[in-house]
Amino acid sequence: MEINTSNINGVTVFEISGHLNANNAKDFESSLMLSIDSGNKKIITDLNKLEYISSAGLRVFLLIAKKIGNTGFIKLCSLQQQVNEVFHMSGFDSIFSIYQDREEALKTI
Amino acid sequence: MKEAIKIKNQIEELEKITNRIDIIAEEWNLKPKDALNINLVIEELITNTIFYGYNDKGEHEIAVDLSLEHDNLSIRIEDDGYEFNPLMVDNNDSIVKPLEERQVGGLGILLVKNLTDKANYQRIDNRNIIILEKKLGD
Repeated sequence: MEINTSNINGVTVFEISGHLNANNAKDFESSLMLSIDSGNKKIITDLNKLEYISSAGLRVFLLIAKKIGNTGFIKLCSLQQQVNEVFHMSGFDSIFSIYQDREEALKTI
Repeated sequence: MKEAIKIKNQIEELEKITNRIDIIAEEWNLKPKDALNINLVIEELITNTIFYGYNDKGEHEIAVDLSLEHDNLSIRIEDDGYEFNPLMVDNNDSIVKPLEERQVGGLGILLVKNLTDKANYQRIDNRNIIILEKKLGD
């Protein structure tokens, strides 16, 4: 897994690639928590290069959403097939704002 | 076609599973989607065992056996951890709750059940054995 971070008009965009699994979910969690703690509470996670997610990865998205609460937002975009299915099977697609691509997600801000 | 994977009860071993499944997928001509789903099912089950299955610090072996006959995939996972049937975890209401009330426990098993046609648990000679079946295709 790799995480690429950029800042677009005050929004922190995390581009995650590879596999997000029980072995690296902690690293992903630490990166995002660190960023939130330093005040970046407007987040888009761009998943166009994320091939695979397991429940360990879902857990991190849930923790982040709970941590941000009403103080900002987390939006997701560009879910690939497996990731999309896992979000759907777990019902996470109904609790997160998910967009077709980064452009769509940025438009809503 | 059959393949046996042996791993230690360490979370880093997930890497080994993923690598082996990549190779198996190529040899067995599996669709990328099926390979990822197989990886997911195995990860969810062995992660449970690795994190919660043992109370000693010792090294244990978890055996993952895969077989494919025509389109029928079978995955067998055997460990010597505590007696625990993960398939009994209650997750009926875990996907309809609002965000604030969501618990993540049970989600992994929900995914396993969603991605397989049949799941069976046995306790034999102090070992947990889970056998999953899935018809590939579609």
